[in-house]
Amino acid sequence: MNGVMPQPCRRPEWFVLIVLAGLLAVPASVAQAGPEDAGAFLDALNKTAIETLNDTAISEDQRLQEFRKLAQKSFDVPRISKFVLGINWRRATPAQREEFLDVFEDVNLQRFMPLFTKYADQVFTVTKVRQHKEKPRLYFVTSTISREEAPTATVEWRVAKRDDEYRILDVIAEGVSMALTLRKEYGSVVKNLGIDGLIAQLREKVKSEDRAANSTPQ
Amino acid sequence: MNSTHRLIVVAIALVLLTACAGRSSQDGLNFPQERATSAPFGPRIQLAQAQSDDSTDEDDDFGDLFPSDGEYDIEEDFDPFETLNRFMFAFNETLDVFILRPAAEIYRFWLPQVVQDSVRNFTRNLNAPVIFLNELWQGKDEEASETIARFFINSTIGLGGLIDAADHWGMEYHHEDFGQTLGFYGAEPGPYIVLPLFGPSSVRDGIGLGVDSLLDPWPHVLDAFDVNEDEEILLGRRIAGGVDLRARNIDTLDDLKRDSIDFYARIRSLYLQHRKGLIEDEKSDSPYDKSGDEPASETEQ
Repeated sequence: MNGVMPQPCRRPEWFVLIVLAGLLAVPASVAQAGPEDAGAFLDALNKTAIETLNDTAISEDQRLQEFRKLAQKSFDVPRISKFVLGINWRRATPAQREEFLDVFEDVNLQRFMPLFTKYADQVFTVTKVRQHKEKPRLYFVTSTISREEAPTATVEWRVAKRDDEYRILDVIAEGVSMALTLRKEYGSVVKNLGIDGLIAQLREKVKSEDRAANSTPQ
Repeated sequence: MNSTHRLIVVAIALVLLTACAGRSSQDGLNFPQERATSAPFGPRIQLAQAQSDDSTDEDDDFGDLFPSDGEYDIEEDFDPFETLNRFMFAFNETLDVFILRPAAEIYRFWLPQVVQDSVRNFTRNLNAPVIFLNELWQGKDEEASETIARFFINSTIGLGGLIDAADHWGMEYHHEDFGQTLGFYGAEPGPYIVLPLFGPSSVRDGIGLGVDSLLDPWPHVLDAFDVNEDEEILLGRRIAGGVDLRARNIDTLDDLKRDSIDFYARIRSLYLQHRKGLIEDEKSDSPYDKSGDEPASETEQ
């Protein structure tokens, strides 16, 4: 009771932020050379994401904020956005590009966050790391995600290394690429509704997911 | 059932990627709806970052991931009958909403898991002869002999296919169909088509479906034994297999649908990519170094 505000979680927050800063430094610090490091990068990302999102010591807003930072650091959102819009990226005005980047980031956060929070017993294992023969900056990392109740899933990650930092370009499950699928889906929407139509649809999607999340009982 | 099966496998794959947004245990993660309110959630990706690498080709990562060698159009899926297909897709969805999904819900809720597994094992076992032939035609001798071994083990020890006994001895189920066999010998999928009841397909895979049903020995077996209710039995087999598959994927498909803004286009892309992946499985001219194929043991948990 110091007369300002009750601050029961002040110290935990501090502690968590320090730990988090340490963890975020991991991918950068292991980014020396050799194909295994692309796997280590994903391992570290997985651990950090789980810890961030399941951290009850910080508020929900803070969790989201930290996760957004982590995602920006780990996914090459600008490159993915350009690929996903395809030919429409060139046709889009600067304002439309900006808007798309903005909403696409939210869409992806919504997509990936549950992967780290939904299943407590989920085990993520890197099984293979391969380097592109001609473009050594590109890596192809194979991982398995296993849960008790479900069959083990194989997920592959395309990772590029630039300026000693790894960033994810694409995620592939059962031979299906996320980037390519979104490119086709968004391309179809743009054909019917235009770029502004696509952006509006994505905004609506983000909003409705949010409502669903808010109304889902624990 | 094969086509439904394919759709569902593809669906599972993508749900891994699109999983259950909004149903996370973290209720109410509020995303900022307006840019003005986004500040508390941390700085966003800046446009400059994306503009700056506007794009020299040798810097194009995705160009390497999806080489535009004309073999596969990464701009648009080949769908000249889109209007008709969308209509058929909507028709199938309606049937699903009113008949198949409710049936699958009931099936999943009321039948014990053991019974559900038996249904799957039984219908899979009946497919074994067709799978065997397709594996043989693709020169996959090992898989073919495993499939035939599975068939004999499961038909006898597995009580007519109700129990997947072979699986316990490390002989796993695998699937090949005539569409894949055609693809294996270089046939392109051709235009995408949505078949009534069967769902996503292509000209090539539609032909494959027809050939597979001609190869299916069971109508002839029933004929040979003068079974009068052969039509009903064969229909029952398809329905059981279909309901079982649908039941196993209720959540998956729900999530997939909720996550998309153009469900039709997403399913089309998933289907075509997945089929391509299945066919190209064995052709290993990957641009990636194979030396990393040994497990990177130090990164395992």
